[in-house]
Amino acid sequence: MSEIDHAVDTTVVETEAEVHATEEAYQEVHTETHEEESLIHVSLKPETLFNLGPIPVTNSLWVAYTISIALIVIFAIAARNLKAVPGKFQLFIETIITGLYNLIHSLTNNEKVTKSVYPVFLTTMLFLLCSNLFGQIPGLMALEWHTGGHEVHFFRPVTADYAAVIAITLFLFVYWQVTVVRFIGFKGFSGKFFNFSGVIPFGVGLLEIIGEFAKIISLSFRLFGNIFSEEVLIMVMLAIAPVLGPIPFSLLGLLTSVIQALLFPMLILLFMNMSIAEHAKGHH
Amino acid sequence: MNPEVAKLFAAGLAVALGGALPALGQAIMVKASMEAVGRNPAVKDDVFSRMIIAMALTESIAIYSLVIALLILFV
Repeated sequence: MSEIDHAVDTTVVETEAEVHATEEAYQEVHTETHEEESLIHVSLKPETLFNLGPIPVTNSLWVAYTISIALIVIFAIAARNLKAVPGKFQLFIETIITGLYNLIHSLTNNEKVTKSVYPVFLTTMLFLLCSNLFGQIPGLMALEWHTGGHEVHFFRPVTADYAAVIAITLFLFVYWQVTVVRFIGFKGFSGKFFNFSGVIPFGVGLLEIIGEFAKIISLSFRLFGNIFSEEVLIMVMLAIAPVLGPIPFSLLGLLTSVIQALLFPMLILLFMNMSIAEHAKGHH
Repeated sequence: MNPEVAKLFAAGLAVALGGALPALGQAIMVKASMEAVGRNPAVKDDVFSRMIIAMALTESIAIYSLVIALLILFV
């Protein structure tokens, strides 16, 4: 009994000493070492792995570049050896492209619009699909990286990094407004926002401007919130009930990953198509 | 009340209330569109795209409350 007590005592002393030492070491970097030690480690920002010159390389950055390069290489190889009778690999790529093309066409219902916008939306869908599903590979979240004395997750889904999501959203927002101008002309586009036919139409037009910018926030936070909260949910479940607990939530995560990846470009397409179709209807 | 504790309560309440009511709204919307498709299956595609837009607009309220909760917790 006393031996065990002694052993426990020494371990406690050792751990305390360790904690003390680490606290001293971290004091400059982190003031809240105790929270850092807890099982659930949630951070809203992506964590820096190392610095490449002046650029901090975060855990979501390398994932984003890996996925982009992998997609470019795979599709370049597929485009290089196209055959009239497709092999297995070409058939796989063709199935993805025609499936997503038909999905986009079913939303626009306009051959001209579909032909002009599908490359951008198809790429967005594929990138989001890959990055969301990449996060579903089991065990990746357990990998840790030691940097400057503390441990951070080596891996983070791209869409769980708000900077990446807002960048994609802003690009698509500009692209969407430019496309609307291209199809209905600048007069039709500005007529929606600045209507001088009366007091009430003028107020409605101003509200439309606010509504258009609110879409940036709601679109980007829908994607970010779903993926980020799913990561946190699985992490919490892993802490409460290890091994079996996260399985149903991982299945749910698989579903949200696919749905959100397709829904984000689909919503932008619907909003874009709404402005184009509304204008066309007014002129018939 | 300790300000830290109040923060946790506020974030939890923001998501709980801000998530519950839009969920109710979405449920009503899906019920209505399912009924419409059940009565007239020919309008399936038209109802589907309208339902998605309306659900997106309703869901943005839930998303704003999520943003507020995240701001309370992390910023």
